[in-house]
Amino acid sequence: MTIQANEAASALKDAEAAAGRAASAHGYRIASGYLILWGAIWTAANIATQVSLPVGQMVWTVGAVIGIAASTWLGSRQTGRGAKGGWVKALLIGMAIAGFGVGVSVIAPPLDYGQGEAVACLAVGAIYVAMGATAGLRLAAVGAAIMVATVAGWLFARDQFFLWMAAAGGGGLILGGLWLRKV
Amino acid sequence: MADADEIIHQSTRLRLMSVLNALPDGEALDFKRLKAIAQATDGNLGAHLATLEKAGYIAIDKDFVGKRPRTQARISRAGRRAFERHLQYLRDIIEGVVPADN
Repeated sequence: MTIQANEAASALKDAEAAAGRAASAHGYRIASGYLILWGAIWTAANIATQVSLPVGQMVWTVGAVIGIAASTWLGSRQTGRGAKGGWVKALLIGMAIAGFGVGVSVIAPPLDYGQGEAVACLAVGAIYVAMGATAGLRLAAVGAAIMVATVAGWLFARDQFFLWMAAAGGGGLILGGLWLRKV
Repeated sequence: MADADEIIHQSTRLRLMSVLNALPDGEALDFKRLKAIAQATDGNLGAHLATLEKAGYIAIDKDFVGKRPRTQARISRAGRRAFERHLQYLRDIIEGVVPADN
């Protein structure tokens, strides 16, 4: 078998590109479950908050507990399929978001519930953009869309902010999750 | 010094092996996704998969999801070893460890 150096280089480049696409597609598949889960919680909690603040807070609390438990379960499934420390990563990300929320509420407490929600959404969007930089650009696009939707809702739909976030934020997460599966 | 693997070196099969090797152990990909990710335009994809299966490099699983038949492929341990050996062979050629006309 005769293989020239340029042919070997081209074959290696092809192989690396295919492996990169496979790694991204695998990462998207994993991320999509989390996006759809949290999108559903986000949508339900925001609709409830628009109707009644105390009910919304209760739905957020219950939703967060369900979301963290389900995310840990999703992570453990990945560990079972050979990915290393899936549930640990999910738990760490959840703790980082919760820690950020606690830190912000201590250092710069939001003036109202809507502002707190907006800051949390921006933080989640930024995390997805950061994760997308290594895991795949589609995830970064979902994160950027969340950030843009949050700012747009804050500027142009303040009266209906929670409904806006239910549709654009929660709905966007669900659609983003479905989009990630289309690879 | 690594050796060339003529089965893996064919361009479509090299991409198929690259995709399957990038997945965690035991993870399988269905035919449609594998074709899309590998960007395989070759009409003989089934034949290439059969060649890799015959060599013991991949395993093909057929089952049903509801009433729809599904074909999935996953890489074997022998496949991972052979793939890594072949990539090393290609690197050796580029670095001049192996003569290009070997």
